[in-house]
Amino acid sequence: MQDHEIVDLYWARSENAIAETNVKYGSYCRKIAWNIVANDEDSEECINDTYLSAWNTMPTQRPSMLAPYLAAIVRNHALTLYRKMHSQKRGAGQTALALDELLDVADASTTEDVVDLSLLSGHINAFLAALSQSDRIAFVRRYFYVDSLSDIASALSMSEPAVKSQLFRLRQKLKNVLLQEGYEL
Amino acid sequence: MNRDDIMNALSGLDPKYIDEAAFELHGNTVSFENAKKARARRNFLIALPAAAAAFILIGVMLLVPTMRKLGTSESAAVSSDAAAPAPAEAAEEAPSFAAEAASDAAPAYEAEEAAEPEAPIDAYEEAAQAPEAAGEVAKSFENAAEAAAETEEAKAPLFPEGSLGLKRATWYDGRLVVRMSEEVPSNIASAGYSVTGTNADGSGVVLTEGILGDVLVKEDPLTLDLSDLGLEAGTYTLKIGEEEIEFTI
Repeated sequence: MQDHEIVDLYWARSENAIAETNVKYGSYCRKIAWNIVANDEDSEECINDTYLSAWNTMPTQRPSMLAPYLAAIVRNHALTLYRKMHSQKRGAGQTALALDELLDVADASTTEDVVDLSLLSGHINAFLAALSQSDRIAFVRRYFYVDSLSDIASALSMSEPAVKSQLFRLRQKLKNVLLQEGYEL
Repeated sequence: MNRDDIMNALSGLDPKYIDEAAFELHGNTVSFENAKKARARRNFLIALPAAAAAFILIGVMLLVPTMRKLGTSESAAVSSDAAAPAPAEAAEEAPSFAAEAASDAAPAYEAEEAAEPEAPIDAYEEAAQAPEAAGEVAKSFENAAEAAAETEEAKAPLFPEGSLGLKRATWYDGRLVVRMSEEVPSNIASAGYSVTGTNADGSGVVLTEGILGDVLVKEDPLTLDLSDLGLEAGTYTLKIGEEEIEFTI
């Protein structure tokens, strides 16, 4: 089924909307959730929350590309669940590693400043637009999809150390971009 | 702002970037053309200074004889002008010793007069010989280049057996990934290669051969684009330099 047909089902409040979403994007969403929470039970909880969010937001939303829309929702749910479970600990798993890596860009201290996330997303999008395809995919796979370094290396036909240094270089670049935009890091 | 803000903001990525990296949905979208373009750009940047140096060398080789020719004719004109006034001055300076002055001046005059025509003749001879010398220099350069080429051909093969350490070749979606026990040489793109299959009667048949750079998409790991061959299931032999490795589709 095409994306716009599935979105039409949501708009029509059809019960088949979620079933069709699950058929087309269920495994994709599960992969994203599992990368972050690293267990089946929590992944399923994230998936259920994702479908509920999709049902509640369509209408009024009408995304032209359903996969990225669902990916962002499931990612948010998974991160929220992860933080709830690991609020005081530095846990194992790719999420903890990815978060640790992002310390190269900004520290973990809480600030009183409220960050405009949509503005920050815009700066990150501009940063990604200037990258080569290989660099951009490595960055998105690591920090959006929270893929392991070995999976990224395998997908890009690179060695793991090469991916590691590539991501380090990209984090430094992102830090410079955000500093130029006036963020305090 | 802290790292959690960044992690949260990443959920607001442009959907096209999320989709671009969604391997689970539509496979790997990374373009291997980037490696080819990067290699072409690198080769151009290496060739450019070499071409500039060759151009400068040729220019110098053409200019030096010309400048020598110009420099020698000028010095000959200067020396002839300097010789002429000497006998006249010698005669004017010592009228009371006219005989001695004349006798002194005469040999000097004669010596310089004798010297005078020689210098221009030498200069003109040198000038006349300059183009011949330039031709000889050019010819010797050609000979040296031919000798270098012959020496190059007579040298040992670029990649003798054992130098690459071909370990394993894996066929993947029209591409062949070759693992080596040795480090990939920086000039691997200049290696000759061939792919051999097997006829129905068991005899070998060369399916393609050429320079590795024509099919190289990535150097490390060595990845070759052989999709144009349309190979069917079977076992083939890849030869790079003097080393062979089998691969199976």
